[in-house]
Amino acid sequence: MKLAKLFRRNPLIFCGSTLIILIILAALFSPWLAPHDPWQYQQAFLEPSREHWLGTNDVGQDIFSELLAAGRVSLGVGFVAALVAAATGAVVGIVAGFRRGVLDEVLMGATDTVLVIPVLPLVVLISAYLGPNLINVCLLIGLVMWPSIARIIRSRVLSLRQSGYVESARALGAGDRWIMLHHILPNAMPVLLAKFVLTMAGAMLIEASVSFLGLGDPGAKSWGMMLYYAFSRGGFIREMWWWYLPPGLAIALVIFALNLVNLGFEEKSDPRLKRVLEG
Amino acid sequence: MLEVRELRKTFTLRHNIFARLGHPDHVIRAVDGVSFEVNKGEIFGIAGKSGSGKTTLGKTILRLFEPDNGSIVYKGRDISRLSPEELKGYRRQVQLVFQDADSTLDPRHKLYSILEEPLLIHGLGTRIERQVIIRCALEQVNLPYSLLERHPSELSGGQRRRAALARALVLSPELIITDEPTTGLDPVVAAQILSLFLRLNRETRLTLVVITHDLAAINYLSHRVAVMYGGKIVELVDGELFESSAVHPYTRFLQGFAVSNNVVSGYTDIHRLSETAGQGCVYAAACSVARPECFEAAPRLRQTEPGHLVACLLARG
Amino acid sequence: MSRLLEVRDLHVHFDTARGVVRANNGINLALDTGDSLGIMGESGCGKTVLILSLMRLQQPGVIAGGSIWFDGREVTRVSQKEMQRLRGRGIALIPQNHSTALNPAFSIGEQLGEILQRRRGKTGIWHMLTAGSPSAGTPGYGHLSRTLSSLGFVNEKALQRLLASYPHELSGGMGQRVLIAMALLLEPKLVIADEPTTALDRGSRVETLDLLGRLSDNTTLIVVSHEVQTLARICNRVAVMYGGRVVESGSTGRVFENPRHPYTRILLQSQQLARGKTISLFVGALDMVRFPPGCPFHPFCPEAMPVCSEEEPRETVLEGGRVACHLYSRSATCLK
Repeated sequence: MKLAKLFRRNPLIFCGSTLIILIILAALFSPWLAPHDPWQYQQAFLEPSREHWLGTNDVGQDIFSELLAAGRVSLGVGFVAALVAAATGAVVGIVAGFRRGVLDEVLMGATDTVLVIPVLPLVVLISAYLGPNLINVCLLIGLVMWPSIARIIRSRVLSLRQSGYVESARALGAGDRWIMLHHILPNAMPVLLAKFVLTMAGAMLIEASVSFLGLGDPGAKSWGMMLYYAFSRGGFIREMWWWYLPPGLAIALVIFALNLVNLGFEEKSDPRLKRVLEG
Repeated sequence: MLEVRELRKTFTLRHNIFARLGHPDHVIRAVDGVSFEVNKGEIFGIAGKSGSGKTTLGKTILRLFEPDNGSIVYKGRDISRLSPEELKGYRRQVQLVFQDADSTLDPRHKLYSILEEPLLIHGLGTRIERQVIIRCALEQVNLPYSLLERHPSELSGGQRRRAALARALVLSPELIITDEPTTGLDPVVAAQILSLFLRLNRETRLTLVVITHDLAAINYLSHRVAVMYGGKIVELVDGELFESSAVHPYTRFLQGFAVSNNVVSGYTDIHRLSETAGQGCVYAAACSVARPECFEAAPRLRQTEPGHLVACLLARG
Repeated sequence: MSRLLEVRDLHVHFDTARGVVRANNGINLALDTGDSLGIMGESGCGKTVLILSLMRLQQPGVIAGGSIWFDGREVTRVSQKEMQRLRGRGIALIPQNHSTALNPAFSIGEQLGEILQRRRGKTGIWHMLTAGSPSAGTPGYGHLSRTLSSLGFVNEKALQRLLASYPHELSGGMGQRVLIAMALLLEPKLVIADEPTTALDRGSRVETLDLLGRLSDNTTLIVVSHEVQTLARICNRVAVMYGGRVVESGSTGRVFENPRHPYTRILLQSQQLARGKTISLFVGALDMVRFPPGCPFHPFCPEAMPVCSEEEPRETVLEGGRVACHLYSRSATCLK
């Protein structure tokens, strides 16, 4: 009963988040859910069977177990990168939007500069230079994606700072820092959350692309890496769709779910219309 | 306790660069040479309609706007000379309850957090002490404790007004300036709030400045009344005498005893305010008994009888 | 003196996320031709819903019970098409605020012109769109200028200036007069004025009261307001509403001089504050979904008795009016 009510309240968020939660759970519990150890070498190039639901790859690892384990990496990278981007973007956006003046100009200049840089080529370049390392990838993606968050947060802050409660807090004796933490940040949260979800989707896509090009960390298998191996080790030629389709579908599914959640958030964070029946 | 002298605050509406060639910038003299005193423990009413500058006056007293001229002296100290630390202390002793109380309550906070905020800003009390203070404030405004867990959107209009007032009371201020406390409220709720003010003033010697256009409220509460028009005070009189002995044409108009030229024409003209360029009496253009002298010399506030000041050339001294 | 309007046991409900809001809970009213009835109450008492229901404009609310009889017909069961014909010609509404009730994109003349088209029976979309501002040649212009001159636009020049102006250029009082004119143009049998003086300043208020006072002399009027002065000036009868019910009704003079219901007393007292005296009443917000059982006012009533929280008071007919209060239900005859 309660689930039905939640669903009706906001079907988008409900569907999207259920999907995401299921996938996350599957990924988290992969060590227990996976029928085999994804690193164990068994017989290679097997077709799907009862023993191996999605067959095995070129070095004999069970693909299904691989899929589950890779979920952890892909989701993890997406999440951490989005976190870095959101944190940086929020700080920049709030400080620039609230303080204004020279600080605003400088910060926005920096934001615009980074915004202009094409993301994927930059990530590819630096990845190739720094070498494959999961932490690097996370930080890199995060540091490249924060500008769009900063812009959005800043414009929200610009309108928030005119609010009655901000003026009222000042009349109570509050300083800038108090107002930013206590009033601006909580009210910017809906926008931030919506953007976070989108950024996570975007980050996952970038990570997948980078890994697909072979610049990923071989020690940490992600869905993108699976795709890389599938294509570079002859999975495509051998028409082993059970190898190259699942990771791609998984990525698409997660991004789809995240977008649903984002749409749901956007609906909620619209300014609520005052109820006409108040009288 | 509070002394305001020759206070001035103007706003300039800038046109864009193209329009500027044809029209001068509009200068709005929101507060134009206002002087008055508020004594401790008294209720000082400021009567005036929107556009008279009363809201700007309230905000300037709190230094939310910087005055262009003049001085505000609170308990002997000049407000415009305060350091940021001292200003914070000032804002603890003098509170402003805004006109649109609803927008002053952060919709993402629960009522408890909203009431706690002033205490946290000034670092007062331990957690238990704060709870006690908050509950006391709620009692004073007659709101039940159960509302503490609610968000502003879950409260009625009257409850939100009272919540804003409770927040002002939490710091035990000495002076509260309240801007349009009863506008938009139903008569019973409005009466409660006005009665609340009276009670607070009597029981705790809270000094109040009530800014409103509701003359019933002014009549009910004020010990002394100042009437504002066009950024100036046009009459200053004892509360008891307000209804019977007010003399200024604008005051009489507000009370319904006289007409004003503005109303007769019926069409609104938003540029009117900037046209009275400081030459004559600020009310002359709309005054029904204006004489030619009124357009040439601006009258000063002069005493007509003890405790009664009028700024009108036609009032006998 | 014929009966023009009769409301019998009207119930209007709204379905909300929190439950059913019973906006009107058994309203009984009667209005004869030539009467002017005032409906007094605060926000949330259901008065707006009541007058909207009279014109079947209460959506998304539903009339859940009772009936409304207007001019011999049962309005609650009439078709929407019939109802549309009735609105404006049978029953007209003067809204509260001219700046929100008038279309800001069209001049006053154009909006009045639309109504004149309707007066001629031309109700199609084409006629509405091509209405235009009326001038001396337009049919119905004579009627329009007579109506407007009775509202203060006495000469041709003033009239033309008004027709050419736009809603945002009008002050409160002027706008109110335009709204009154719009309501009167189709010569309705019943005019309902919704809070006519609430949004006005002192001067305009005096004017508008004058106008409405004269109007009440030759039209049947219902005025909704919470202001005592307004109702005292215009209406000869008044009904006080609280919690979706009529708690007291009677002639204006009697109700205001000798209020019987405790809520009426409080409402009057709050508008006649005596300097220097505090009042100790506390009326809180009423939960319209979960009514307390019994009389809706009993949680706040200074004279509540045990029976008030158990049983809903029925209307008692007393000399000079009716009251729905247990304080009076013993010493008088009950209504049906």
